[in-house]
Amino acid sequence: MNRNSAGGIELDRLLSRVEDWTEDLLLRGTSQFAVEDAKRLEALADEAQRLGMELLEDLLRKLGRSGEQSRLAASDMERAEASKVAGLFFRLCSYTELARQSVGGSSESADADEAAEAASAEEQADA
Amino acid sequence: MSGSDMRARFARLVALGTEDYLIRYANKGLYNRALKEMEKGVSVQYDFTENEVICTLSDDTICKLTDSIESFACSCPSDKICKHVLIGILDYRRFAGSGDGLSSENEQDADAKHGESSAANDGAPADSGSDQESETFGLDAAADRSVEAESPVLDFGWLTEREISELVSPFSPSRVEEAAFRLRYVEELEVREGSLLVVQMKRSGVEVAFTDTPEIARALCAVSGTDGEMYKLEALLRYRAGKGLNDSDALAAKLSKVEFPPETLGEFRDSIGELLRNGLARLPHSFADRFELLAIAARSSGLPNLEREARGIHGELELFFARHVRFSARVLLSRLSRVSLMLDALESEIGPARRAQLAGRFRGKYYTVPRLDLYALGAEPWETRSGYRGITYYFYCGEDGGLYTYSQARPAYYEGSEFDFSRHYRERSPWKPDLSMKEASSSMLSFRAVKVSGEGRLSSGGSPVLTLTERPAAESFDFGNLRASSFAELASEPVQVGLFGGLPRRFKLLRAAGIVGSIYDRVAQALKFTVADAAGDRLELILPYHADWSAAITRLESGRGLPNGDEFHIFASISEDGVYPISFLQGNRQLNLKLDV
Repeated sequence: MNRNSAGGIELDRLLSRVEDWTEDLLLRGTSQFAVEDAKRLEALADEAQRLGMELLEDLLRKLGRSGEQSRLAASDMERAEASKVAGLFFRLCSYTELARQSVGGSSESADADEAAEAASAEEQADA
Repeated sequence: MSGSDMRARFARLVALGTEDYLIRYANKGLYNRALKEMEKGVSVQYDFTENEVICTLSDDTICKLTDSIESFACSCPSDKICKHVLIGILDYRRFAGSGDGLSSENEQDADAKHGESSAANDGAPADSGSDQESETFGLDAAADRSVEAESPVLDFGWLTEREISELVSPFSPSRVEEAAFRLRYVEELEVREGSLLVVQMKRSGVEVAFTDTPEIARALCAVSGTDGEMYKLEALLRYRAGKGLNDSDALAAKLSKVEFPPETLGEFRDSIGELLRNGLARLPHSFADRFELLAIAARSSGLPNLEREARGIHGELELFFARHVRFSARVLLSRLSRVSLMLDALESEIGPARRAQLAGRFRGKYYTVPRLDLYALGAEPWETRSGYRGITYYFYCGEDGGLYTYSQARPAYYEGSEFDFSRHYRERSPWKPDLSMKEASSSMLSFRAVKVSGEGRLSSGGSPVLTLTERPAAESFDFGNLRASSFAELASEPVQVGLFGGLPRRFKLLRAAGIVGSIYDRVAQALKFTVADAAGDRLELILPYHADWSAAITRLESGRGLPNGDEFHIFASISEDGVYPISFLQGNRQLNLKLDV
């Protein structure tokens, strides 16, 4: 996927919007899932559909529905629904991360740090 | 007869007792001394009881043998196998060969002996009659003859027929893991079958001799201790691999825990679930500590990857609470997502090998590799987000096509002083005192017994032997898949994606026809070169600015030290946002771009 192509720019934009939403929700918490969130996810899903990205569309719609259900659920069902939301949410995050990798663009690598720390720790252990 | 069964079994031992066999159980010196004694006339009287063979030597030593060379008792002061044991075994051939009952005073036994000694020749050709045993063998001939005529039929089938998990179970997992690791490296095997099945590993210079007893521990190896154990395991695994057996799945299952404690996994789920439900904005500061505890729990449950993520989450949360500029919600989400997916996978049926892969390996496990020949490609200094600084040296191994690294690294401020790139670049290598790291970064290194991690990192420890050999020019060395023959080839390679285990950095050795131009990009804060390949295609190389290698950048910008008009090679790191060169190689010369001034 060439990020300079028309489709590439639109995908880039979509991914950015998804990323923004997931970061926003991380900050607010899924217990604060509101009607606006469901609407936003539907809009994102429609865009994904337009770009022919079925898997992404599916994830977004499911998350929207699940979020709504957890918002409206009675307290005993809440927990079960909440874990479903979490599962879908994290899957969406991972999907986005992978999509970023194939399209290109900044993906902050947490592991470069680990490698450095490991190298340093090992060197001290070996000495 | 009470001793007749023992007699038959002892005769079998004698038949097994070839020179090779006896030397492996004892040693060459002892064997020669035994022969010498016999030449001088020492002889043996044999008395068979139900459980032992009492050998009375003519030098008054009494040695009690059995049907196994490993159990004996001798009146001499030695507590290990002695020459008397060897004499007891060797002399029996002569004894059994002669018609008259040399030692047994019992006439009945003498007759039985005749019958017994032919019974001992079960493996012999069918036409050998019992009367042939009245020949008297010369000592040397006896050794040879017994191999041909008397060898009992030995079954080494257990080596390939038994389940590998069963065979390795008496050994510690570290031994097994190290032996399995070594299989990645080429070894020249030679196998000889006699009264022992000898597996010779030429690169290591070690031989392991297996008996027909289905136990690895019973095998003989000149190397003692845990190293010896490891060699025995390695020899068996290589032998099996040579016979077409693939033990890797079974070993992975063996080495990893089949079940991980559900409480630990449950705690992880609960914690990330709660974090997500509450949201960062309303999270109490103490929540970060939960992940430190989870890291410890993960470690003791044998889940290194989960431990690393937990520590990472802890660190990221600390940054968040401190309103630190380095905090990244993306990085935190990335970690949380990975943990969530990992938990899903660990709780489902993915099989032991994949479960082991997911659980991860504790970093810092180093294994000794018998031989590693490395072509140094360059060195690069770096600094990370979290404040670590270091230099990584890159090497290519022609034999396995792998890229190996060695890194010097420290937290940016270590004991009050800064990590000085220049100083570390010029310091002595840990493997050879008269070799600096700078020299090592452009040499051909030939290692013996070097320690290497699963990720291809060289260790500074152990006791490797390093010799420098002549490094061929890059043009004439086979770099396998590391080399890209043209810039077009680079663009057409599929992009790698991955969530777990970190994305490996992509490195390439590129061939350029010349440098077309260079420019310092003030906006991007980087020096950019444009190079052309033989086909005329252009490629941009990016060298980001950093205060610590500003001198090198200035020099490069001025054009000093760059390769002249001819073809040269570029060793570079390739990522989606560009090609980052590490070194230029031309003929015998090499320029580590950020370090050589």
